[in-house]
Amino acid sequence: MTNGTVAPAGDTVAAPGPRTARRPRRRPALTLYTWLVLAWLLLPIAVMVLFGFNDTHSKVNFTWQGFTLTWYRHLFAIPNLTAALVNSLTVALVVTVVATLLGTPIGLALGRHRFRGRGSVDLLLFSAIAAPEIALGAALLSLFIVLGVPRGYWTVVIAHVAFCIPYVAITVRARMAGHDPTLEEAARDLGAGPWTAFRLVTLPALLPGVASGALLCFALSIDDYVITSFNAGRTVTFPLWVYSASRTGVPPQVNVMGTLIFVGGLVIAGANVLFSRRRAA
Amino acid sequence: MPLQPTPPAPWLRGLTERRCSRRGLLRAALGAAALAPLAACSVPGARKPVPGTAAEIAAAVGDFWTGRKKKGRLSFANYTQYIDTDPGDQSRHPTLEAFTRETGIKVSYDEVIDDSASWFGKIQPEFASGQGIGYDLMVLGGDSYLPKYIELGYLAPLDHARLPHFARYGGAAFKNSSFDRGNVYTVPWQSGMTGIGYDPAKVGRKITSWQDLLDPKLHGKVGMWNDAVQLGNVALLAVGVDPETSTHADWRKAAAWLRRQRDAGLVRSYSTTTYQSSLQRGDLYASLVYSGDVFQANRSGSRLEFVIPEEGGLLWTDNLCIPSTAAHPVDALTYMDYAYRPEVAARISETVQFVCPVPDAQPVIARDAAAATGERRSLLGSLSSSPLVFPTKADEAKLRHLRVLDETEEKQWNALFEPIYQS
Amino acid sequence: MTRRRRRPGAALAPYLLVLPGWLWLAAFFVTPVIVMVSLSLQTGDFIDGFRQTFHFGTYAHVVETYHVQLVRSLLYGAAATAGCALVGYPVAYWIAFRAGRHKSVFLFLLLLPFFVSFVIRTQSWNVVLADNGILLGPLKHLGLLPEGFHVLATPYAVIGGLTYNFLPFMVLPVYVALERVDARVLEASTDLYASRAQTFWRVVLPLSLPGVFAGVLLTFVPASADYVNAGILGGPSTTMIGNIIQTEYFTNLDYPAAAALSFVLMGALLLAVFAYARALGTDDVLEVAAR
Repeated sequence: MTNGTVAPAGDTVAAPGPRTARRPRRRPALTLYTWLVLAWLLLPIAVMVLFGFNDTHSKVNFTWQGFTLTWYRHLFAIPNLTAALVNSLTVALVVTVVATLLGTPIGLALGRHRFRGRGSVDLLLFSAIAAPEIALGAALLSLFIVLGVPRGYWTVVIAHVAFCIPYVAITVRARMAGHDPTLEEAARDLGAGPWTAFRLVTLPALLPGVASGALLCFALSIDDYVITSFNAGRTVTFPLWVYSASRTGVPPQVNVMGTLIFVGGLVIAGANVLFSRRRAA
Repeated sequence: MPLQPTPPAPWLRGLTERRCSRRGLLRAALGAAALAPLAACSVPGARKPVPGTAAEIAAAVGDFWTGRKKKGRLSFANYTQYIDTDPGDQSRHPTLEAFTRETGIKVSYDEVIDDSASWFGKIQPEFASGQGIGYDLMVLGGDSYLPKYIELGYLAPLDHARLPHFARYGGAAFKNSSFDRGNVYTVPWQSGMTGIGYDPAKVGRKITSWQDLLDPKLHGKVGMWNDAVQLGNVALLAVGVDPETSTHADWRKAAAWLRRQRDAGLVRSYSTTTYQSSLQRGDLYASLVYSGDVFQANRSGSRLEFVIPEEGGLLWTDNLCIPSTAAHPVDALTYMDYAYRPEVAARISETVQFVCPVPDAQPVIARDAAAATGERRSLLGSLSSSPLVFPTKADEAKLRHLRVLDETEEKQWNALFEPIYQS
Repeated sequence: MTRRRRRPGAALAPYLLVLPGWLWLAAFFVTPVIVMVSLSLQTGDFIDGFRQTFHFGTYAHVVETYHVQLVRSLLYGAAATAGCALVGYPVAYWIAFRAGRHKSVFLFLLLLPFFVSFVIRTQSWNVVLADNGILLGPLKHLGLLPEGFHVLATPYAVIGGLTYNFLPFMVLPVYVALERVDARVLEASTDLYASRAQTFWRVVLPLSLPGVFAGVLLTFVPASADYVNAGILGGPSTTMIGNIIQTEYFTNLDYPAAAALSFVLMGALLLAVFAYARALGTDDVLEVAAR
């Protein structure tokens, strides 16, 4: 390193000392910057939560009018909004179950087996993730148009499952990659049947991956706007309702539901952490 | 979106792994080729013969209605917030409940329509598959989609013998529109005017003409719409042409007017989704609006004004119609007539606050106002005397109708007006 | 590796495992793309139907008509990606090297926006950035900004919205890559008298590039194809290609044009991604990242 010879005095002094003692100099500027970025990220969430408590009388909920719990009490006062939320939740549940059931075996196969065609399965998953959402939505819509299939609840489910499978597969595969396949061999050599070996050896190793994959699925599905808007037909989901409500103003109930989904997500995520900690321990 | 507290490292790692060997690509291509026969699929057309003469129409009406009976159910698709609601409970619709009590017909009412285009796109495949759309009655805008429904045979011809209230109370200004001469397939539900909505405090003067939307003082504060139908018709008015009789040359002039406005930096956005809230927030000073928008915004505290410019405003009509696949058409027809009773029309207007196609509803609302108290009294009072709901004769004289376009014209029209807002 | 005794059916196992999911993806991902291409080559109109005529002219037509929006989408996507990298890298760096024991807390904060619906988050900016709203209002009141100043309805609002929405997709992979940088390598660098800046530019940054690559991939594609931000935050000339595709499918019912545009967009983005991967020689880089 020719240009590294003129090192700052501080470093030359520190260099001979014990390595572990070298602490990086605090950089308040960078710390401040990080906090600023985090504030920027979290500001809209704060706005959403805050305006769920806004005592507004106008349909355009944007100036602070005082604190109220009215909107929590009348959470389900808008039947269409409630129906949209219910659609979103049930779609997400169905999609999570189906995509996890279909995606997990792919991840398992890719993580554990070498087989002809592995590369093309890999490419398929990668393309499905790398392709822009709008193209996936448009492609499926084209298929439904050509087949004359009316769009609705089940076409949304089909679309969501299709874009969730690769995420589950990749999550599970990454788990399996760190798993020693000879363990299962050993179990079988010790007399376990294939199912027992799977249940006692592979499955426990697999579960955290499956859990993360399923969570990811649920989150992707419940929040999807683009693919859903292309394939929903007359079915309305929560994000679709909110988008079309921006026309006359988003009612405070949307903020409340957003807040509740937010809190629900936090609880599930927290439970997931505790769950995996306990497993790890 | 990842719902994980720890970084989703596994799948990121998965994403960054090696992939895409040339052999894999080749195999994928071969697999795709095996599916090639699909490429032959086409999308079938669906044009149906449309009855033209009076005799043909009468025959079509006879064909459709013979043997149809009341079934005691009705399923009704509407735009959002487009019917009366109970002041205390938004999910209840008193006129529908009264209809059920009177006729025994149970109504399932859905506000599922956002706009003409998306609604057409949504239900068309259901019509095409022949299975019906699950609705017996729906509200359709009187724009260039309506002729499509008619040409495709998606609407039932109406039996006017069973619509006595429509014949008696329907306002003449709203009947017999150019998109459906003789109201063969539709009757008006609500009408509305498109004009200019503005905040006088921000603009600082009265707006009277479409040319005021070229005022440099409104730089970046004017809202227009990304809706080729309304935008084009409005621009025709702005260049002094009656849209209904306009020619292709007029359209070009109108598009030039819009381009001038855009290129001068006057327009803040072309959006049908955000103009109302932007106007109320003060992000827009003036915008294209529907009459009902301003009435509703002012009820929730804004101080906006609506003006029909001197060159003219647009009067458009949303219509009730019965899908040809309806399972309960007689029930739907019964409701259609019911909606034309002045007291029913009055109740609906009291909530909806658009232009009422039943002029005789005005005295009913005035009576309701006299009987009410407090805030409701002032609301109904202002409604019954509002030119936004019951246009004055002078206003009516300034109102023009939307141009009805055939398919070739529609292509030309879109080619002129879409690039304005899709730039 | 010497193969041990194969159990019967073992060779079949991976295929059986892959099959159900593969079928789903073949039916609802691969087939639709082929059908979309097929649709893009048809001619006709909505009322009379569309017929396969292998009319490639539609592609020339849509590219000619909408090249401005196509290029704009890629530019906005690139700007948002660059924005994410510039804003996000220091944050990832700080969390990886300076956050100490609280790393997971900060990562969690970073992920919080994902618990709120994407559409709501985007709309919130309409409230926050309103011309006289909670942010700009006071600044204008104090005379720090001219009265006519606005952020909404400008390209900056759209790019800002995109950057906001996709930032975590950049920070996380960069963080993962930085996290994997071996502390001993850094020590070796300083032991060899490299300055802080040299250590960063010559050691840390190159080692974190795979993360940046993954981040660019995860950010650029969705940002370029997005139309929600342009729809909610945009102005008179911020229309993106996604908005056009939506209009062609749902308003104009011109399915061939819509399908052609979607395919052009998908092709352009996938080509860009693969070219980018090749240029970085990622097959090797990614191999390293995967360890």
